[in-house]
Amino acid sequence: MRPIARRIMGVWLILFGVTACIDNAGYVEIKTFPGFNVPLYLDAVKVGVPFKNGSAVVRQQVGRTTLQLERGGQFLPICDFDVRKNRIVTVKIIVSAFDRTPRCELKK
Amino acid sequence: MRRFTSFLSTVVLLVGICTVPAISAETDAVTPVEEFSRQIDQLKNTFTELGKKIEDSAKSIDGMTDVEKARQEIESLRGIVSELLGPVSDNGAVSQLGAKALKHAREKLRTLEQETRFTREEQQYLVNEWRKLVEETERATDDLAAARGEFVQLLRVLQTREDFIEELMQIRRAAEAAKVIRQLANDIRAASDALKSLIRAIKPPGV
Repeated sequence: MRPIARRIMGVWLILFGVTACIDNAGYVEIKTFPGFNVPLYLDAVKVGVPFKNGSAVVRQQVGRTTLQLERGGQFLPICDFDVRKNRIVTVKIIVSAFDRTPRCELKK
Repeated sequence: MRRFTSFLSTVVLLVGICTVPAISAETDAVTPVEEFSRQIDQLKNTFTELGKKIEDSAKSIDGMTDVEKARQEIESLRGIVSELLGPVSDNGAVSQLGAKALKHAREKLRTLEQETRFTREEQQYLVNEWRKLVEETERATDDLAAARGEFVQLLRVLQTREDFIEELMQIRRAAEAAKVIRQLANDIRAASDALKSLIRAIKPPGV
């Protein structure tokens, strides 16, 4: 491919990507419990936001999304859900007294 | 003469190099707070504009008898609320800027409290001013968090009502759907009033 054509295509891809990012987004509300401090990931992106009163609301690309924990450098998927355009999905992380692995409760 | 000129230019260059970082360090300290303040100002305008659209939408939904049209209106309302929520969501631009501004102001306050260059009065003055900025920035981030909560709640009401209307239409209950639409118009109006007072209360730091 010629350099100029490659450059034009790059610009188009960036513009398309930015537009797609802005247009196709929904929200995920993540609710945790006091003392929860395990790193969380939505797909492969770290949820690097503060959990005020145990909850955070993040903008997320539309589509199937996996909430994962990081333990010992490994990802542990805890639930899958759909993020829909201009909608919010609430994910509550809970841990039972018997099973120490966190689980998800979904509220669409 | 040429030697003297060369010496002079070296001195000027050295003075320049030495003073520029000091000036930018001073500017850097207050810039995140100023930038946050500017963004909040812009956001308030956007909130007000979109708030009017929400109000208009509530009015038009209230008088609607066509369920399909009402559903389209609710969908577009979700778009507006989503637009409002974007910048104040926890990974949104304004929220992140707020966190950065707050961190910066707190660090500056801590540094000034340990400062020994100035007289006690001078130090106290600077500390008080930064303490005020920290408090104002904290208050502004709390206000944005409250707005975020309202938007989340409104978005949730819209989507659950929309889904309920959809379910009612699937079992051919148009009259019940119309009742839900009217109730929703009231809910939107109430949310819009709450939003108006929230938006009025948001005060950018340093103003």
